[in-house]
Amino acid sequence: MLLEPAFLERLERLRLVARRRTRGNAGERRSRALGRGVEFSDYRAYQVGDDWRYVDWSIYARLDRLFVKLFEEEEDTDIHLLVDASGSMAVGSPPKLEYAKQLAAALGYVGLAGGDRVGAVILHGTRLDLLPPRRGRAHAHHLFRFLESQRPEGPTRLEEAVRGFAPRHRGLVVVASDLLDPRGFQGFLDRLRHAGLEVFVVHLLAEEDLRPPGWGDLKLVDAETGESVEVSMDGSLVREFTARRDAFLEGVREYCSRRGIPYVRATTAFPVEDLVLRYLRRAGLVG
Amino acid sequence: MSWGDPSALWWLATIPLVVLLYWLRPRRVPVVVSSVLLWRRALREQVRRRPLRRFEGNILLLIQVLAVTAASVALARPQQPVRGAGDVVAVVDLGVSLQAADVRPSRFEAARAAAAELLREGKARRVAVVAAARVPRLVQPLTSERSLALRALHGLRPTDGPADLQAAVAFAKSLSPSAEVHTFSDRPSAQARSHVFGGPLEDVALTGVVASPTTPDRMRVTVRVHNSTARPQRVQVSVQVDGRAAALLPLALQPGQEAATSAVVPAGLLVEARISPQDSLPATDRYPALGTQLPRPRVLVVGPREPFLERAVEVVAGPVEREAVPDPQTWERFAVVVLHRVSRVDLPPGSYLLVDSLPSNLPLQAGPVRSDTVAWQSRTHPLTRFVDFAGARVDRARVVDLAGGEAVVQGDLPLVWAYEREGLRAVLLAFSPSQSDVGLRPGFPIFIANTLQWLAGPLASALEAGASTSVPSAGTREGVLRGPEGTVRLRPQGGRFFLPPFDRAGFYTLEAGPVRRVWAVYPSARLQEARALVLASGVQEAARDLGRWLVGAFLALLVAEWWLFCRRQA
Repeated sequence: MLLEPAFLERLERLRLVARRRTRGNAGERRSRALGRGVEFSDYRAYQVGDDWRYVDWSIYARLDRLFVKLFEEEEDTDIHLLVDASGSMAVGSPPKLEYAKQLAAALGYVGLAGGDRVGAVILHGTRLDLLPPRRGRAHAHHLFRFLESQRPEGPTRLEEAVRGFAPRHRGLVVVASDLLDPRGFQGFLDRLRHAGLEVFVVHLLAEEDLRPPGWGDLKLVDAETGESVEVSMDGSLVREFTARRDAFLEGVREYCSRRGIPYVRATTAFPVEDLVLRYLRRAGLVG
Repeated sequence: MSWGDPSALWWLATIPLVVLLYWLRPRRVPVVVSSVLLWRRALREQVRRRPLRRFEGNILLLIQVLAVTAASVALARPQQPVRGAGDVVAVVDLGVSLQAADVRPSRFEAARAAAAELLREGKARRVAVVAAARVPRLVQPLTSERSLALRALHGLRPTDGPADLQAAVAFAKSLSPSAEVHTFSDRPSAQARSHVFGGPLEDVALTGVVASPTTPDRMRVTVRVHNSTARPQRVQVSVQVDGRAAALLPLALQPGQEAATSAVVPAGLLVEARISPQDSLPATDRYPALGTQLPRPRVLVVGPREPFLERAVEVVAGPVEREAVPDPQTWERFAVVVLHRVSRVDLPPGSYLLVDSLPSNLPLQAGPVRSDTVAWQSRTHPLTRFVDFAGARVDRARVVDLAGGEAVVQGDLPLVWAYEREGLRAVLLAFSPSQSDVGLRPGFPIFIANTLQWLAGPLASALEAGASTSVPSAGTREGVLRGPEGTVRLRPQGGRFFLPPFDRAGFYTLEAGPVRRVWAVYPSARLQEARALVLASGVQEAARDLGRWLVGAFLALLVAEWWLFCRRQA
C-alpha cells in the first residue's frame, strides 16, 4: 500500500492547479488561463481577430472604445507523473524511488479526484515505462499498482529518455528526480518545456546525497554505473564536496527560477504528507 | 657528504618490498553513493587548489618509503664536512709511530711542517696547539699571536710512548666549542679535520722483555718480537745486563708473527734488549727492562730487639742496621727507620715504622694498655694488600688516637695507623708483634713488605714511555733525575717529587737523599692499534654526523604515518 487511507482522504480535498491552458478537453478543473469560460474575469482592449461576441457594447457606448470580456476557462488537463527510476534512486533511507512513488501516487490521486486525466512515466535510463493518462477514480488503482511494480535500474539519461515522449504529450508534467545526470539536467527540462508541457520539478534527494558517506579511506561506488572513486575523506575534501553540492543545488534552483519552472527540493527524510499538504500547496501545485 | 658505512645503503633495496606490501594491503571500504559526479568535481577542485593532493591517495606509501629511506641512510652514517670555524686548534701526534722515517724526513717532521703551514697561512682568528701524547698536553693556549703557536710547535718532539688522539681532539674541542680542530697524525680522526702522514707501518719491534730468576746469580730473560712487515724477517736480538753484553739470539719471524726467545744470563738490575738491523722506526728496536736484582731500601732498626719484626724486615730489605740508643741525626741516611718502643723523641723528616712507639712530635694521644682482637682491616689501603689479620689476638695494645692518621687495622680500638704529612710518612703499630700472634701470621711479612714499599716508595719499576709518576720525598729537599735526555733537578711539592713524563725509552734514576730509584721506561707496544687505524694518507675532512637527524626524521615519519592512518580510519 503506497498511501495510508487517512492520507488519501485528505488528498481528496485538493486539486491540481495548472498555470497554462492546454489543448485538452474542457473539463472540471479551473485553469489559470483566461479564455472562453462562463465566469467573468477581466477586460482587455479589443484586438483584431477577437470574437465580436465578447465585445462589451455597454462600455463602447460610454467610452467609445472597444473592450472584450475575459472569462476563466474551465477545462481538463493531462497530468504526467514523471518518476526517475534510475539506479541512483535506490539510494537513501527510505530509497528515493520509494519516496518518489509515494509522491506520484499522492499527486495522481489528487488529479484523478479532481477529474483530470493522470498518467505515469517511469524513466529507466533511456527506456520509458508508460501508463497512459486516464480519467476517473477507478484509474487510481491501476496507477498505484503500476507505480508499486517499478524497481530502480539503469543509468540516468533524462534528456534521451523524454526525447520521444515530450513532443507527443501535453499537459502538466510533475518531475520527481534527483537530477544527477552526468550529462546535465538542463536539456531534459528544456525538452519538456519546449514541447509545450507545463513542468513542475520536485527535486528529490536522500540525506546520504547531502553529507559525506563516512570518513577515512573510502571507495565511493556509483550506484548506477559501478564506477568507483577512491577518496581520503577529510575536512578539506568535505568542504570541497559541500561547495560542489551547494553549487549544484543552487544551479538547479536558479535554472528553474529563470525559466519559470516551479521547483521544490525535498529529502526522503521529510514525510510525504507534509511535502504534499504544505510545501507543494505553498508552491502552487495543489490548491 | 661522506658515508661511515656505505654498505648499509643496501637496505634501500627493501623499498620494493614496502611497495609490494602496500599494494597487498586490504582495500578501501566500498560505499555506494547516488553518483560520483559531485565527488569527482570535488576531487578535481581539490587537486587544482592543492596539487600535492594528487599524491595523497598514496601518501602512506610515500611516507613509508621515505621512512625506509631515512632509516637506511641513517644506518649508512652520512657525514657532512664542517667548515668555517673562528678558532683553529692544531693537534699534533707525538706517538712513537710518528718517528717512522717512511715519510721523509719523518712522519713527525712532515706533520709538524703541515701544522706550521696551517698556523702560518690560515685565516683563523685565534690558534692553539695541543700535543697528543699518552695524555693530551696543551702546548699553546688559544692566542692571536701566531708566532707563539709556531714557537710552541717548533719545541715539540715525538715521544716513545702512545698517543691518545681521540682524547686530544676532545680536549682541543673543549678549548673552544666552535674551534676547527685539525689533527696531524699517521691516522685519521672522525671528529676532526685529519691530515694523515704515512701509510701502514712496516716495523719489526720489540714488544716485551721479562726477567725471572733461575738461581740467585742467574736469571732468564725472555724477549718478544713482532714482525708487522709483509716479508719474513731474520733479526739478531742482543741482551745487555747492567751495560754488559750477555746474550745474542737469532730469531726468524714470519709476516705478522710475534715470537719470543730467551737466554739465561747473569743476574742484574738493568736489562736492555736490542734488535738489529734497525728499520724505519728505531725507537721500537730497543727495550729497557728490570732484572731480578732489584734495589732494597736501607733500613735502620732503633730500640730493643724484636725478633719477629727484625726477621720480617730482613726478609724484605736484606740485612738491617741497628741502633740501640736513638740518634735522630743519623736517621736521614736511611730510607726507612723502624722505631721499636721508642718514645719521647722528635722525628725528623723521613719515613718511619713506629712499633709500640710514641714520638713526641706526632699529633697523638695515648691511653692505657689493653688486650684486643682484630675485627676489621682496610680492603683498599696499600698496607693491607694481600694481608689477612682477621681474628688475630693482641695481648697488650696501647690505646692510641692519631689525629690526621688513617686506621687501617682495628679491633675495639685502632691497632695500625697510616700517617702522612709533608716531609714525613709513618706507619704506627699500637702493639709489639711479640705480644700478639700477628707476628706468627703468614701475612705479617707481606704486611712488612707493603709497609716498607709504602714508606720508601718503589725503588725500581718499569713504565711505558709517556707515563709520569710521583714518589715520596721522605724529607729530602732536592732530587736529581738522570735519564736518556740529560739531568733534571727536582724539588718536592707537598712531600712528593712529581716527575716529568718519561717521553723517551731508557733507564731513569732519581737520587734523593738516601734513596736511589730506578725506572726502566720501554717504548709503547701499542703500535698495532695505531697501524690498524691508518686508513689513508692525505687530508680527511672533519664531519658532522647526520645520522641522528635522519633517525629523528625516521621517527617523525613513523609518527606522521600512524597519525594519518588513524585519521583515515576514524
